[in-house]
Amino acid sequence: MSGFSVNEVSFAYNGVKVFDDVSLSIPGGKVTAFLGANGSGKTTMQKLLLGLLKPDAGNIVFGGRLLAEFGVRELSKIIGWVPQVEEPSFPYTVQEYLMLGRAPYLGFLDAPDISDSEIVEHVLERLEMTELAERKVTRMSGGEKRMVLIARALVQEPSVLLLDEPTSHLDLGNKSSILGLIDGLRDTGDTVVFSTHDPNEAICVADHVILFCGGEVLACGFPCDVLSEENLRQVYGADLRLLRVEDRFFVDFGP
Amino acid sequence: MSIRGRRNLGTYYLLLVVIVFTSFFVGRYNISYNAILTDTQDAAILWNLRLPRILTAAFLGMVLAVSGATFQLAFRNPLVGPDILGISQGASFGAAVAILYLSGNPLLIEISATVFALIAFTVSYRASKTVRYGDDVLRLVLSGLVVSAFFSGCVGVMKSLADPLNELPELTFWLLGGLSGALWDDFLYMLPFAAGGLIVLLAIRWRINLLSLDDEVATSLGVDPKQLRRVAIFASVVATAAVTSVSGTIGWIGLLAPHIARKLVGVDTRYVIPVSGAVGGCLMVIFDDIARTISPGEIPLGIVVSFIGAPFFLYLLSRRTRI
Repeated sequence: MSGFSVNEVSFAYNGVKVFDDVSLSIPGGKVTAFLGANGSGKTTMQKLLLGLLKPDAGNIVFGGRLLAEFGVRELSKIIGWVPQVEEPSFPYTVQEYLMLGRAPYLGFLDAPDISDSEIVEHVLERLEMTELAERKVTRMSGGEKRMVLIARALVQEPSVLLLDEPTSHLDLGNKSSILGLIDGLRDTGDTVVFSTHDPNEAICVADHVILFCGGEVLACGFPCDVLSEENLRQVYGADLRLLRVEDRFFVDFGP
Repeated sequence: MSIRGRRNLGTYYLLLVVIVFTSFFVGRYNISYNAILTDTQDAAILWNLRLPRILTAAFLGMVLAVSGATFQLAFRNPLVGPDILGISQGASFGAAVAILYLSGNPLLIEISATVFALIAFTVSYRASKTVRYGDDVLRLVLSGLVVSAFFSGCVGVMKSLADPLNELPELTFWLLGGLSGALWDDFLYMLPFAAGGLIVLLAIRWRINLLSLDDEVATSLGVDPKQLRRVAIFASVVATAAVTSVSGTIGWIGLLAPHIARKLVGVDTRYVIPVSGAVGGCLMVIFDDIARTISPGEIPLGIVVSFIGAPFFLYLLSRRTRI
């Protein structure tokens, strides 16, 4: 179970500074939430963890090894990524689309075989999506599309899963099933990182919260420690109240 | 028939073989089946004229179709093909230059066609990034249109420079697109490049699927999308230039065959690439049969293809769901 540690990382995107000397750590085998307002650097941090972007200064260590030392292919067997938006250009079936998640294990001239199909089937069963297998990915609801992206990342058989705003633009029912899925991943011992701008989601499923504010890490640790009224007001620039209902906190943002 | 049943690749290539074989006996000069084994003038026509021409047509169709299918994936754009990206026109110009100024040696024609095809492709791809109108699909089509027009213009210049008595008629007929002059020599010079490109694309046919993803997503799947795209496009351009240097500019097939293939077997390139090839080969052999039989004089193949391809393209554009 390996986690990340981000050490004094600076990163600028097209000359615009996103992070300046940021450090944080993500525990292995736990569910970590990146919480912050839109544009606070959550997506950029995920891309740095994926190796899609390289830090200008500082370094990232994964499982005791510098992330920069990993090859693209090696990393793709360890880390699965669920991007925030992805519009498939061609009407693949769900089964075909998930099969793309086997790419890390297939050589340049290889095509997937029966054992790859079995892995895809297994993931479909696990997510209770078997009946969607022959549906076209271009004709699915927002929630179904998100599930397909998560399923493709699971087909990679990663031990770390990064999800970029997995619940954005979904209705409550779909949000709830995605959060349930993230909660379920905890039992497999995988490291899960998801970003969200809704503190309630972090409270629901995260073991660990990292609070982003304007490209800085404002706080990190247990949700109950990090999610104080004071911190949340600073992050969202709004008058928020924490309500306790039974044994759970909720954020009330109404006027 | 179920989609699984339609994915039996052998069927499509068997059909291609049958069509190729049947075409031996199609032509204005009537030849009977038993002529194959005799040593007559009929057999000479078959072996020296018809066979190389039919085989060239089959390869022409296969290459244009497989290249079209590849380009459509590589640019996540169902509306591109070798002719739409200006590649065919670039290759035509390169070939015309070689025909007029470089002694017309088949190998030089090939090389010149390939070089200009690569230039045309690079320009239309780069230019599409500067177009400030429409989405990515439309931008690439528009810049391809511009590059095609430019190279057609260049070809026009070549025509006006050609000797009207000797060179011009030959050049003109060739530019309209046709296989009337395709002999064994032409076929054999074209074969290694065309077959080489096809083999590469067939070998990586499943991986071509990954080009339909965003580059960042592909990278997160352990793929180097730039390298993969480069390999796929280079193989397509080389093969397209090789067949174009024999046939002249032939449009539409690179667009039509992949669409038909996707209708038959779905969008997975593991099946679309080989089935496009078979469909393209079948169509081109049939179109060429029409070109050489329908009138007493030969109709250029490019014209036959356009007559059938253009309305079909309109039909594709008018359908609600494009694939």
